[in-house]
Amino acid sequence: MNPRRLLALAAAVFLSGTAAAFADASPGAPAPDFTLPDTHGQPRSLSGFEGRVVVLEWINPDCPFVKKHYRSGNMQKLQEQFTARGVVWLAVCSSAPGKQGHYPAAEWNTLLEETGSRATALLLDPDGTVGLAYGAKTTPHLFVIQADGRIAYNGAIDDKPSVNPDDIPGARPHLAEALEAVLAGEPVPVARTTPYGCSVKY
Amino acid sequence: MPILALAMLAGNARAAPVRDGPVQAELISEVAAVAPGKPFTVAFRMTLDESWHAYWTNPGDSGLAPSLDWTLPDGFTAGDLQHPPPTAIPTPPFMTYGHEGEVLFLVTLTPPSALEADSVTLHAEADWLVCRDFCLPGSARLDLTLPVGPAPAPPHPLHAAAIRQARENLPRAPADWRIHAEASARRRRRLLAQPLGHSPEPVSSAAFFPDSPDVILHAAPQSFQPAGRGFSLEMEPAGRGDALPERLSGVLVLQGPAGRQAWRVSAPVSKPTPPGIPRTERNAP
Repeated sequence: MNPRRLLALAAAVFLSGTAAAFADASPGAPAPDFTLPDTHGQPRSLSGFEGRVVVLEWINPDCPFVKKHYRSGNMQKLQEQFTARGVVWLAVCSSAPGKQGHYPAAEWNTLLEETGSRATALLLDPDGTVGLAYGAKTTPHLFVIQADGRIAYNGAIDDKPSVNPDDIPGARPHLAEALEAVLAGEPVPVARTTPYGCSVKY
Repeated sequence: MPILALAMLAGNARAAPVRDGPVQAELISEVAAVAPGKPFTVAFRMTLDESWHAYWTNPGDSGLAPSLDWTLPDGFTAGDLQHPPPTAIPTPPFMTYGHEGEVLFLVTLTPPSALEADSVTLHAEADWLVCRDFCLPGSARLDLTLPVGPAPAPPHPLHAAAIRQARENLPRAPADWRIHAEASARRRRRLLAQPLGHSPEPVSSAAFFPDSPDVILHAAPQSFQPAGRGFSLEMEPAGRGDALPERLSGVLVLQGPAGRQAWRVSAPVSKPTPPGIPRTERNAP
């Protein structure tokens, strides 16, 4: 059994042992493995990216907090900057059918093109299984998984909870700091923050 | 008294409510005139359409509290926005803390000791987020014009009572109660409230709203138990509960025979007593 699978198994045991309404992917804990279809119908597994640094970005394109980071170009810039350095960036949509942000794959592809997304893929999680396994609360909510399959960061994109794009330049970029640290093999300065945004529409 | 007559009594105090989506926003004043050097209270009043909610300072699992950005005449200063006690708004699997219906956020304004003008206009830019099954940000540019007059400033005939009521509802330090915080078995957070002195009215339920979002699991039920003449309230820790917070700080909303009241609480967290260790040994250096 490879290390990623062992970690995923440990994560499953850990998750089933918690009394919480949904799980909580704590920094240092193994990232739960998953397989979800992307918007081209191709199944993507976390274990398929073994040895790579992975970002999970919870997304709902109609949420004002998500719009803040896409209309300003902040999210696309981060995606471009870090995928260029080998990071796998997976946007995940856990909006349930009939809820805000739920779109069929074809519409997603149009949306992604319009917004200029540079994510590696967008994964569809309409029954919310993966969102609940990670404890994804808001859009955006970001997780960094380091190369050994452990959670390195869980939280907000930055430290200015607002819908105002003017707040982005002065904000402390928690996600970018975490990624820089992981890529440099250094400890993440702030591994856990409170994510801000709209609730994930499970 | 007809509204029009009341409005005329209010002199030339002027403010226009602004509607943005499901929210009507307005600045209202407790006084009908501003007296030089005398602090007075205004309220940012949000009236939300049915099924919408705004957020408390700790919004819970998602959301964002409203904010005001003041532009005031020379010499005026504005205090912090005072948020009313929140209500728990469950949206499974999440819990948010916020407000529904008509909400008054109070602010103390202090004018300079000398005012030349006949009237002053207070200007605030309000920003908020409201949600139901989806969220809408909103904003409004609000103005409130008040005449300048001698002290004591007369109460505003339309709004003074509502602002006074909102002030009475604000969380206050509990008089005659001792609040103790500890981490109990399985790292659960516990608040213990015991009355000092005279026998208080019984409290039939309590809910704790922490100031910080990383203290308790917002969506987990809180367990209320009568304890002695007081009560205890147990809560699930946030995350895995490994790190003990130094204090439990927030607002405790109680229900008793006298109705709903809110306490401001900040109690240092004591560690649970390990079983079987005698007190003397535990206290040894």
